[in-house]
Order: sequence, then C-alpha cells, then structure tokens
Amino acid sequence: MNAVPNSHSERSEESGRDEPRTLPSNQGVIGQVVRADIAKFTTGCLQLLQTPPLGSLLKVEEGSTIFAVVCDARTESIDGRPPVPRLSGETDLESFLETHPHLRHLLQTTCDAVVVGHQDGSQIRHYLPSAPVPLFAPVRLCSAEEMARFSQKLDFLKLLLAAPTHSDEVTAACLRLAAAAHADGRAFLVRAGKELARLLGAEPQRLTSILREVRP
Amino acid sequence: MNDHDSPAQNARRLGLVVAGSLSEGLDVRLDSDRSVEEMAVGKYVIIQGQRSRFFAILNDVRLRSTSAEIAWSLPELTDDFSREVMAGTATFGSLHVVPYLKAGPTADAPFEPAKTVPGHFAEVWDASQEDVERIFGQDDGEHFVIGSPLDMEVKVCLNYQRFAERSNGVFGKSGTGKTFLTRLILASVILKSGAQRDARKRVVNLVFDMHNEYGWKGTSEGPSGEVKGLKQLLGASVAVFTLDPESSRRRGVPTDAVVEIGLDEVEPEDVAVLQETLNLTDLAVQACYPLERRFGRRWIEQAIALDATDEEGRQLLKDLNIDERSLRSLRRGLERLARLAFLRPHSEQNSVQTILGYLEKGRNVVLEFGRYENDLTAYIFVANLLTRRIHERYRQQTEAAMGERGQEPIHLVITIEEAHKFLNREVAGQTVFGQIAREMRKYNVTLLVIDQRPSAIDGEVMSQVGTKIACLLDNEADVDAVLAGAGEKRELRSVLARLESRQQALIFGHAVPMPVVVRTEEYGSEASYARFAGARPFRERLEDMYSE
Repeated sequence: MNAVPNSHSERSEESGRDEPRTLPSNQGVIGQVVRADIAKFTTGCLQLLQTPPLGSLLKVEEGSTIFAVVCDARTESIDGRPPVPRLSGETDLESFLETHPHLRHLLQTTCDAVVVGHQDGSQIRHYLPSAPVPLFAPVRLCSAEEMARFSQKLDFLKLLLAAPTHSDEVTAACLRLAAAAHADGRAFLVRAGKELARLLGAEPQRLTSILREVRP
Repeated sequence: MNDHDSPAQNARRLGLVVAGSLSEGLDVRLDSDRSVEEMAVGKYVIIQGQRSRFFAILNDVRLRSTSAEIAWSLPELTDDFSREVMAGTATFGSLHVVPYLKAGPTADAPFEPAKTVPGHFAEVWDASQEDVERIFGQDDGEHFVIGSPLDMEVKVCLNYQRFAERSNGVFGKSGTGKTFLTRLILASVILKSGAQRDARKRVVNLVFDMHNEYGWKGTSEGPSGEVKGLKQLLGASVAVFTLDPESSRRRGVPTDAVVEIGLDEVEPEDVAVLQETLNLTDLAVQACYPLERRFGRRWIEQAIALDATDEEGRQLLKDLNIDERSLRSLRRGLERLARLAFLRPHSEQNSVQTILGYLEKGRNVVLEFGRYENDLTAYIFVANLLTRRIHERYRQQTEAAMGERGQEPIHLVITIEEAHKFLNREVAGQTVFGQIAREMRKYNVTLLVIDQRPSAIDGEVMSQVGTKIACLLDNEADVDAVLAGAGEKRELRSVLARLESRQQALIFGHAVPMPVVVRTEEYGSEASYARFAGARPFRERLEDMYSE
C-alpha cells in the first residue's frame, strides 16, 4: 500500500477542508470494497480521481452496517507499476485522458478507511465488528445527519487514533467534519477534545498537535 | 448516575472518589465542569456509595495533572478552547474529603458514624439543604440554631439535650466573637429549657459575667454600639445580680439583687485558689488552715490583726507552727482581699442562699462584676466561693434524691470566663471547677467555659469538655489543646486555621454529629431578637409564674 497519498487525493482532501459544511448528503455509492481487514478496508472508487474527503465517514451496509473513516486515498495504475512519464504536451490530467481514453481502464482510484464502529440493531457500537466487511460490498458516504448521530458518543476516537496512517491528521479531519455536522460545533469539539486529552494523557505532543488543528 | 437513590434534584455532581482511606480521607477527582474556585474548605459533600450515603467534609483542594510531563508541555495552549478541553481531563482538580457519617440507601435513613468508606468511583455531590438539616436537626424543641454552614443558607443546630448534659467550651483568641457566641448559646439554652415538658431536661444557668456583657446589655461593634443582654431579651426568666450596685446603676441595669460576702464566710480553700493572683507562698496558703482552726469563722480578721512582733503573737505563731514570713505573705494577700468592697466583715444576707433560691425556681442568674471587671482576684475569688457552696448544695440534694428523700435539683450550667485561671494544671486539682468538669453531670452541675488560652487549661479537664466551639486560634499550642482527643485532628487543624477572625466557628463534639464550621447566627438586630420573642407564650408563662 502506498504510504503517501498522491496529488489527486491531496486535492480532494483540501476541497473537503475548504468546504466542510457541504458534506455530500446523497446516499450515493462511491465504490466497492476491494480489500478488507477486520480493522480497515480499501474501496475501489467508481469514478477515477473522485475520492471521499479525508476524515469523512463511510458505511457499508451488507448484512450489518459497518462504519469507517477515510484515512488514505490514491490513484495508480492497475498493474501496480507507476505510469511511465511521457512529455506529450498535455500536463493537465483531464485533457491527457481525453487524448488517451484507454488509460481510464489502466488507472484506478482507491481509498482506505479505518473501521470505527458498527451498528447492532439500532445501537451504534464504537468497537470492531465480528467480521470484516464483505468484498465487493457497496460503500456509501454518510450524510451530515449520520455523521452527527455516529459521533454523539466519542468512543470511536480510540480506534481512529490507532489508524495505521496519518492517525492524528485523520482524527483532526474527522473531528472538523463532525463538528460541522453538529448543531453546536464548538461544544462538540470541547467534548471531543476532552476525550482526546484522556486518551492521549501520556502523549502530550500528539494531543497538542490535534487540538491545534481542530481549534475553532 | 445511580438509579437506586438519587441525591436531591438541584444537587450538582462534584466528581468521583478515586482513592483514600477511612483514617486519611478520600481523594475525589473533580468533574471538569466544576471549578476548583467554587470549592471551599469546610464544605459539605454527599458521597453516594453502592449501598450507603456518606456525609463528608471537604478539607483540601489540589490542582493535578495526569502526568507531570503534561502540565509542563502544554503551556502554549492558553486559548479558551484549550483551557476548556484540558480542564478536568489532562489537568484536573482534586478534592480531599473526610467521611464522617453514613446512612442507609433510603433518603430518610438515619446517619451514624462512618466506619468504612465508599467504593471506587462513588459519586460525590454537593450536600443539599435537606441533607444538612437531617444531620444537624431543625430548630425544634430538641435543637437550637447556632449558625449556617459557610456556603449554604441552611441552619446548623446543636442538640440541646446533648449540649446540656456535658461541660462545654467556647474558645478563641480575643476579638473573635466568643462573647457574642456565648450570649447566643445562653439565650438559646434558656429558651429551649423553657420549652421542655420534662423537668429533668430543663437547665438553669449561673453566669459569672466578668465584663458585664450578658445580663442587661452588651457592647457591640455594630452601629448602635450595644446589644440586648439576656434579661432584656428573655425577661423574667433571667435575674441580674451585681457585686457593684453603683456601677450597675450608672449603666442603667435593673438588678435583682446585690451580692455581698461576709469575711466570716470565707474558708481557707477559698483563699487557696488565689495563691497565684495574690502572690502567696505555699507556706502562706498552708497557714490558713491552722489559723481557721484556731480562730474559727473570724480567722481572716484575726489573721490581719495578728501582731507577730509582741510576745503573745510570737507564741501563737509557734503554737500554730507558722513562720513569720508566711504570715506576712498571707497577711498582705488577705488585706488586699479585704479591701474588695463587696466583702464585709459580716454579711446579713446569705448570697449563696439567694442565688440558690432563684436557681431552684428555674430562674437564670447573671452575676455582674461591675468595676471589678478587670480584677482577676475578685473574679476568681467570687466565682470559686459561690460555686463551691452551690456545688456542695447540689451534691447534697442529688444524693438525697438518689436515696429517694427529695427531688433532684434542676441541672445547673455555670458559665465562667478566663477559665484557664480556674482550670490550669496547678489549680485544676484544687478548685471546684476542676472537680465539676471531671465528674461530668453526676451532681447535675456542668460548666460552660470561655477561654482564649485553651493550652493553659489542664488536659484532663479539656478531655471532659463535651462540645467544643472554637473561633479562630492562631497559637499552635492552643490549637493542639482544643483539638486534643478529636479523631480527625489533622483535618480539623486545616479548617481551624482558616477560620475568619470574626463570626466563624468550628464546632465539634458531643452536641453535633460531626464537626461543622459555621457562620455564627446574627445577634443584635431586631430580626435576631424576634427569634427569641417568638417564644412569647413561654415567656408569658414564666412571667405569670414569677409575677407574684
């Protein structure tokens, strides 16, 4: 797995940060599960270059409902090798793809998400489900209401802080999105901050850096 | 919150018990929405255990952090948001509380002394007014109001019965309001005593009022400069006696009787307690006894007149085995004594009998000292002389009652000021006051001692003091003396040292179920007097009784 997100995902993360209040509220499927662990899964995105914002909440409803937070995203060639650079004149990706339409079938966009809870009946549980999400299950982006409901309680933060990549950045991004979804965003952030302070009691440096990023 | 028994609706949670012991008290982690700045040492809290409710006192507040490192590595986060986040989490307040009482889970279960502690994470709540009322009682036939806890508008009451059945003490350095407090206590005791149906529960007071503060009116720092004394407030149930009728007249005090003492009533024991104030040698004190044996009731006059220079006098001293120097020392002292104007060679009136007559009828007696207010010799001499005789009479009557040959006398409470002069280590063994303090209420007499130097009082006497009411004390030895025998000495010490210098007192001992710091009840305004006028039916009853 790539450790560093490519330029496209960075761009989409930025767009998510610029407009936190315009979370996509459609229930549209953004992709399918292409790799699944108990604690994380990878989504193959339906649209090339279209990744959900870093820190946004995904859900997979196949049997039970499993929630996950986007922690990484990338676009790469399907054979795993990096594309060979050619100076053919087009530096803009869209026009490049128009010129070379077959490339759409050789590239794919995927995103990783860390599992932060599941639904058990009507109860949301902030701990790992008993089984990983099924392969090819459709992945949806949660609406602001769903995000607000999921983050009523903050126990999921411990799973988020244990995310394999960029955990602090992901946590901060997730809290910013969740704060936007709550009626009183500041109160939510204070509550979340307190939970973080408890969880990161022994790691003041991590705590400080997250707090700086979520400070309203 | 626990669902088995929720504290009162308006109570707020303070935090959770995290550690501690019965002997050293409990550590409570303060909830993040509560500020350490709202806390005050002496505050009451309720701890909701699994099966019991505990009643505890806050006695320390501390700032803590989850790790030493975190407190030092976060200083750059000084905005409101970060402070709010950190409060109660990485950094938090902790309280140290001492559980005193424990009750069953139901809201009306009685409190009893705590013999264990609540478990981990028991919830700690602000004590509600109802809790405090349940513990310290309400102003009813059995309880009287002494003040309010520091942070509450509820009243703290003393149990009248328990207060009356032991000797009690009011301590505090000068100017801390001992006199006000004592006046309040005396007025309340008189009021409650009048309300008792059972005669055995009544008490009657004899106050040796050194500074003329209790009987008719007292001085105050308020705008009027004076407050009502017991007689103004309670009317006929209080009689003012005076040793100095002129002074009483000048001050406009209507007195009920003038106390005179005949020199022929004075016994060697009455002189012995004056050894220190009259500067008598040991041998001079010893000399009193043979002189009395030789001369009988007029021994003082004879001793003063004794001329040791002539042959007859020398022979007499030799017979009595008294050396000349001792006689000189004794004579100097006796001459000083005899100069006191209330001492006559012989007094027709029997002051002891008059006082006893009032006491037997249930009338409280305040003895004013008039111009002798700064004369310690007069005070000690009179208080000791009268008390010795009254105590003796009480002893006879009580013993007769035990032998079913009479009625027990009404329980007598004797109030003395400058108590360490009567009860210090050297004389406590000899004076009647030491005896009264030690024998508890065996003969129906107890003491209310008022003192600013409790460390000078004999430890054995102090240990017999049932209820101690301590205003601010700043001398270490005095604090130790007052707290001696209190189980929670260390905790109380921090409370006692932080009392304000006026109108605050720490009360602990027999008449309260747990130590309590109070803002003492206001005394001196019309509203405060009205509380005592509220007992009008009783007063009228008394006045009817004594109007004839």
